[in-house]
Amino acid sequence: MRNTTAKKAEQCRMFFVDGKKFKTNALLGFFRVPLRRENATKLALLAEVLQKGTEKYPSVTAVAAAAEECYGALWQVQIIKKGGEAWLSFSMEVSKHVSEKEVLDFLLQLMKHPKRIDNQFPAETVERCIAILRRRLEAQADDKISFAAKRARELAAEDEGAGICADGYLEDLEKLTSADISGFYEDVLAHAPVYLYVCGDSDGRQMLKKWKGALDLQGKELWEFQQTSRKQALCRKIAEKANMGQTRLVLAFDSGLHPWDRAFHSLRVLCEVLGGGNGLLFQEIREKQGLCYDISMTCDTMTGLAFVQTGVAGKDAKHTASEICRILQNVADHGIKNDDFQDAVEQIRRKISDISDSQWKIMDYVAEQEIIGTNLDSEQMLRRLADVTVEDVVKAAQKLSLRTMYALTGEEEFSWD
Amino acid sequence: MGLMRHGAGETILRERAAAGMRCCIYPKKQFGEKFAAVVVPFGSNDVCCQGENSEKPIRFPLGVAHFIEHKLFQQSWGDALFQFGKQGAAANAFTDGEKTVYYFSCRENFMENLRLLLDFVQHPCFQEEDVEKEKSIIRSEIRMGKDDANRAAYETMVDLMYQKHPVRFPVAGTEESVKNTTAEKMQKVYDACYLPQKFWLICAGDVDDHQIMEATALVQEKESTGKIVYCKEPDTIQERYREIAMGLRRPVFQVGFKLEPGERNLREKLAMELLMDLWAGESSPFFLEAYEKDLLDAPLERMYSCGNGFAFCAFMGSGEQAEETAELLLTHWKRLKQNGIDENHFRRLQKKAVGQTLRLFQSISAIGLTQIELTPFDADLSDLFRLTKELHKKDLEKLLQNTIAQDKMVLSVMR
Repeated sequence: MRNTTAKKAEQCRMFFVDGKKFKTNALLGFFRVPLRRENATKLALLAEVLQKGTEKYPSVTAVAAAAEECYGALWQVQIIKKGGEAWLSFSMEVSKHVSEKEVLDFLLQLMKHPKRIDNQFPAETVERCIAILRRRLEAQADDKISFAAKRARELAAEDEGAGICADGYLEDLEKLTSADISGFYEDVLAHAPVYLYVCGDSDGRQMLKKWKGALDLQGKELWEFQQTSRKQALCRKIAEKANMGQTRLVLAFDSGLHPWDRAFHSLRVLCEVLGGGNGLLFQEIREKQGLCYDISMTCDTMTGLAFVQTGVAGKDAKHTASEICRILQNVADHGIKNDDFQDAVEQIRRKISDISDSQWKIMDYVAEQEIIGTNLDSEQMLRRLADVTVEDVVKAAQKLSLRTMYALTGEEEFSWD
Repeated sequence: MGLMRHGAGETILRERAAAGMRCCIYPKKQFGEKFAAVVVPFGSNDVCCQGENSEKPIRFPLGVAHFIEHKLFQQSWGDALFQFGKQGAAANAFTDGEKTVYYFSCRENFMENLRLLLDFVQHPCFQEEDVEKEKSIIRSEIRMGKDDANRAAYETMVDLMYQKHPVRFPVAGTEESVKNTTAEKMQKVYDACYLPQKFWLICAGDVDDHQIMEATALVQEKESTGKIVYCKEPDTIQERYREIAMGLRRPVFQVGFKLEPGERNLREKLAMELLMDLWAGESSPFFLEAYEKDLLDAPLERMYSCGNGFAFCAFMGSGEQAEETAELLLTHWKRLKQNGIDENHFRRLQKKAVGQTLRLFQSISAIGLTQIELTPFDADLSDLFRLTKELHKKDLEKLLQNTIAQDKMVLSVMR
């Protein structure tokens, strides 16, 4: 891989999470890959190819049948975008009745023994996967809500890894060959840092060791991950057309914060005050003005970007956008009520505490903390939250700068001007 | 305490409150999340009510169950939704064809939140001005749904299948029916259909069953003023095929099979679901052939639905060749009928179903939401677990002989 720095380090790291209270063992293994335009499509295609058959389970239905034999284990090979990097992730949630051997055998088939001929993925499999990915990319805009959110995210982080589409690019797809993907897979095995997680009973530690041993990774020059700072930019107003009745509106804000900053917790509270279930935007835009059905504000834990999303009538889009900005400015200028602040803190407290009730939430949380480098457990996270004051939240509001106003609309005449 | 049931190493408590409300409690000590729901057996299919003393049934506005769901949080003292937030809970509600559900999830103040839930569902405060204001929000919800190709495909499919039964109408009604809904009409419908003796209360988490049962004393029985009636639905479908242009790059489609509605039977539902998996699931010969012929990139999603006066099964997917996919589905049904069910395939899918059921027990909200779906069957998760394990190939073979018919197949395609 070009444009990545290499360093000497342990390629594979293991994490055990106590999951005695759950009825399943959950396993997550991912390869960290720096997200670049030149590898995004290869990565998306690789994830597709790796699901289509293994040495032992050579067809899509054979893989499915093997998982069914394991009491219907849930499994996935997918790309998870985390800020400016992508994780080629292999996951499995499987009943504790299923033996360690069966579990590892299944996962290792996917990770280490995909169906190959002379060390290359079968050409017909790659061709079929190119067709699948092409159709998926062409149809991205069919799901209006998620497409609008994704586009706004990419536009707000343009020129950064976070702005790269981890689903791949149509124009890069057709030129890819089996040799490209097979070579890229070898690169990933050789250079990507690998993180393995097991959430289960105490024998999960053993499982981790065996998993790592069986992967037998011989990493040489590991890819390195660098944080890029975001350039200041004027707000861009973008409208894209689609065949739809409503207009999806997404406003992206730069908080100027990094996920490892203590002040990042103030941003979370601000998003909840404004865009939580009972937030100020819901009260004003939906309940008082009746402009929309759904409205929310969330912040991205890896990039420090915050997004307000809603669906409105095309004629109301500009008014709604200016109302959102007005409400936010009002918080920056006049502060927030202590009651609203307390309610928001309570809701975030609940969400952080809820992580411990889901194996996947726990593993995702632990992995993110590891990648960010903060390594806070949920108790420490709650303490940081408790330190946030009303003034901190107002400061976070004052620092927000509008980066992108995005509309996906069916209105022929729509214009931001 | 009433009946104590066991399944998958869990205990389930079943009890009736003084007012007759059914209670189902899942104590889960190791989890911090706590969940409670009130299930009102009144949904968007319930549009016609025969009064005790009237000759002609009264017709409700379409979507009124959903409208009530939106406005019931509004109380004389303020907004119950905000109050839940203040008490550390996340509350919400939903409506489907057969029920309206109000629920919350929290970690602390469970009993305060439960009392709030039991109180607000019994005290509507429909004000004309509020109802008027809500119309634009519901209109926005309806329009949002119209941009959702999968929802549009589903609504078209049921409309193709049913000629009279209200299952063919959208849950939220239409913009026109919403416009014609008034606070007065909502109150009348509420009085006729929100009967606490027919409610279900579902609780899950580290909760105290004695305290819960004490709190149910808040629920008061109400006199029934009529009963919901359904018009007779012809056996035949309304129309076989409909295509709607939505400007999609990849068409989505739903293949539906109208079935004979019968008595509710959980065992039969589970058998049908297993049979559908066997027929068209991810390891089925159908999927392999559809994948190899480039008809499908991913397995079809499957759904079996039954209720008062209706039953159907449906397959949802995306692809350019919906007609060919539907035909292939039928071909494989015939093949299955002719060749019988492979014992190994059946056992494997039963094992999968057992594993799926077991997994439900490890999430408080999954327990709660699954139990909500089991209320029309008067069943709980222990029944689900037991019946899944007890299923026999013969159950499926019975269904194989007399359920799916080619002339009851419909196809909706969104392009």
